[in-house]
Amino acid sequence: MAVKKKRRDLTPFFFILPFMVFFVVFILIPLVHGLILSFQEWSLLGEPIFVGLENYIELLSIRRFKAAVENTLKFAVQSVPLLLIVPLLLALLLNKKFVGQRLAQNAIISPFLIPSSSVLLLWIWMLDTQTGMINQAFKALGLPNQAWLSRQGSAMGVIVFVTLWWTAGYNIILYLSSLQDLPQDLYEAASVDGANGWDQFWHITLPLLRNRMLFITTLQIIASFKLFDQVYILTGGGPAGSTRTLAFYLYETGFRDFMFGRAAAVSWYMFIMIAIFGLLQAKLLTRWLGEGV
Amino acid sequence: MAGIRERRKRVFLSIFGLLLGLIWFFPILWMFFSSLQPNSELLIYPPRIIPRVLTSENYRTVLFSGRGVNVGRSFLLSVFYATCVTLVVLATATPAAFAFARMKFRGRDIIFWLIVATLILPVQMFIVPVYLLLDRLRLLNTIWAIILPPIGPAFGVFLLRQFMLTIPDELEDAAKIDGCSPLRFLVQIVVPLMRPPLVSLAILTFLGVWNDLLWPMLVITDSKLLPLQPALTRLRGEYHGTFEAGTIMAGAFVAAIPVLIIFALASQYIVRAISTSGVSR
Repeated sequence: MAVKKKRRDLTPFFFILPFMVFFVVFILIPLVHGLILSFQEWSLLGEPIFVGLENYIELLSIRRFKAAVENTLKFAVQSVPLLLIVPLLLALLLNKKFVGQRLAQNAIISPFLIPSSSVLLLWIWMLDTQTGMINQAFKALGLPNQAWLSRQGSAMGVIVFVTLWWTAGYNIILYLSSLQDLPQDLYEAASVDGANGWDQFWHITLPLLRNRMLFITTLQIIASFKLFDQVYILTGGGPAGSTRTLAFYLYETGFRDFMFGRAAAVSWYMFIMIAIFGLLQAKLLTRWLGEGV
Repeated sequence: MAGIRERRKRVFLSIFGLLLGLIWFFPILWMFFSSLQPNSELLIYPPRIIPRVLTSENYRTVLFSGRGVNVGRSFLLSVFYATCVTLVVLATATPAAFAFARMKFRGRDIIFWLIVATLILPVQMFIVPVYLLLDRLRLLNTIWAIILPPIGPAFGVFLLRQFMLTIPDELEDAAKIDGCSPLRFLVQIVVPLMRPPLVSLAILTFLGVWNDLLWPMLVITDSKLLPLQPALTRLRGEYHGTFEAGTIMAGAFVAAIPVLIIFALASQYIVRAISTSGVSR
């Protein structure tokens, strides 16, 4: 053949090499090693022993693990809708033009950037049973003091509330950028046709935000499975294990009990659940929102 | 008249929006105001939102003395860690993103999307194996345990590639005709064009390291190397919650200040990075 085989150009290889070294060492190898670990029994002392699916099977009969799955789902069920809807309402408000809009927007968005330890130590102080601001306000209203973080009934609710306050700004940014891209002429046409604000929201804004909402739901579900800092600082998993999440259980298993194999198996259960829920919610939400269009 | 109604609506919106903003931001103001008051003042009822007695004692305590927890030192360490990670991320992600966006090689798209797919995995999938890896390399309790692992995730490569795809082909063709090598094209033409996403990436990377609690808590036990976030949780252990709330709030506020300043100065970069990529944590 007349076409001479071109010498393979190595330039792209050199461009991606520095990044790939870090990617392979800190993402790819650990991912594979994690999977292998999950089939091994290995504590701090001694050598890893291959045990097959034992870690996975054992976990299913551990009460703490089952409770952790339940608590994680509980958190997801409570927090995902709130973090989908409240930021949407706030974004709709902040998308309007008014004096002081910029100030209000920054005030509501900025908390999500503040480190977890600052935010959570702040809320421990706010929620303090005796002298916290919230109980002081209760006192002023003549209501009894509440031990917010040490009562089983309220601890998870407090974690949901603090998470909403803390991270709403992130979703608001996502919503605002979509809202600003909406085609204005559609609204003008709707106004001419006599559609009121509510009609416009229901029939134009919401359907156009569908993909954004799906995206945020996915993001929030993944975030629910990662819930750690709030539990670690606010409740330590208590009271009576009622806020022990999967991520927190994994931490306890791996770094307090040093059962690395079992901890790795927990992380793969986490992965399976995220995958299932990701697919499930995408399907459900598409169908549900699909009817409105 | 419609004008008056319109204006009344605007005034109402302003009042409502600003009030909501104030309520939402109030806890952060309270963190600041608490930190300025002597601890004993914070125990009285009704609470004083506007401090009656001002003191810098809480800040002096956490920054300089501290019971075994040196927030000042941890603050500087966190700046150092976050800066190191940011620089290496920029240096490694930029050429990689360029190759994935502008160069042709076998398996390019498959490799790229496989790398990006790992971004969806929760950090918990990595902590045990990376911990064991660092242990084997004898890097636990060294600065490397904090600096090296955050360079692995592909977030920067993904973000920069999205922007590099938008560079017009004509620019590259012109550069090629002028005999410009890919490396020179990247450094002299692409990087200056990529300033906004590079700044976004730098800010998000810096904040990611600054805000991380779990990882440094696992790999650093030596208090001389402890960054700010785990230092704060130790601070809480050393000081007695309610009775020294002012001191703890001073520590919390020290960790929040740089973030609030970055947000005030560069909110548009943060907003852009989040709205174009949507994945940052």
